Amino acid sequence: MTTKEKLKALVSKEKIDTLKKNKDRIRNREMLRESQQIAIKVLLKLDELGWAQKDLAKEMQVSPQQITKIVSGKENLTIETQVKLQNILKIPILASYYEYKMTNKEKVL
Amino acid sequence: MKIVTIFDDHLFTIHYQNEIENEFDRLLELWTDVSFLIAYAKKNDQKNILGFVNKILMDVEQIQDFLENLNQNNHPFGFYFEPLQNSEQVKLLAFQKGKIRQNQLRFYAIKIDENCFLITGGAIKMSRKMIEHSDTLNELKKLIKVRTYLQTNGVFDNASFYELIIE
Repeated sequence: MTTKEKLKALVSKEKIDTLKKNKDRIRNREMLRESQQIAIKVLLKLDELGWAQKDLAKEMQVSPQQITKIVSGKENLTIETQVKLQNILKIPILASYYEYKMTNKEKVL
Repeated sequence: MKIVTIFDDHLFTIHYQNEIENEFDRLLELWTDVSFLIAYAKKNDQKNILGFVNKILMDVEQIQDFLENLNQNNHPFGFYFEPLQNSEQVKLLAFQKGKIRQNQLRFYAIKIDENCFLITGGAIKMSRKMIEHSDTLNELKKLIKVRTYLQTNGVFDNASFYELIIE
């Protein structure tokens, strides 16, 4: 019996979906990258404000579990969630953030 | 502990009793978790937190692409793994030459044969030697634990430790 055969005798028959999950991550890469960058902005802003995640949950009127998901950078965030984050934390997420700034600048000029 | 199959006949990983997922899946989830990465950067006194997190996220994508393309490559699996001790020596030489390995993520494995490896865990490589950081030291302990498990179950008498390096 070879070493590999001995090992295979120990291997569980359970099927795992590692390769499928990997394919999904690659397929969703663009979305995940955006989600990750939003999570980074949120966490760094929370640090700057001295807020805990539960403070943000309270402001957004969502559960702390929802914030945990947002800051993991794995969620496909709805526009509603993005708008809330942008408005409450004053961080640029959507194009509207810059468009609003531009409009105000024009008004000043 | 349980051994599960990633690639039939070639790549296996451990599912430890106290974990929800097997090591390969657990690490890919962990290394793509932004809140974990930021906390990790702070804990490890990284001055450029944003740079560190983005670098690790890029490194994970490299691993994802590597895994996706693995069955299209003709190399035996042994091609991608380096013996642990040698690689640490190589890294010292490489460092002196100014060629530090770019990808900071490591999977640690036990070699079954030239074309078959068992992944026991992995870590963000923060120090040149495994014993110099608590995470890699813990990975070394896991390697020893799994080797003992394999020995106890008569798989082999002796085994060497390897790490998966993606460039």
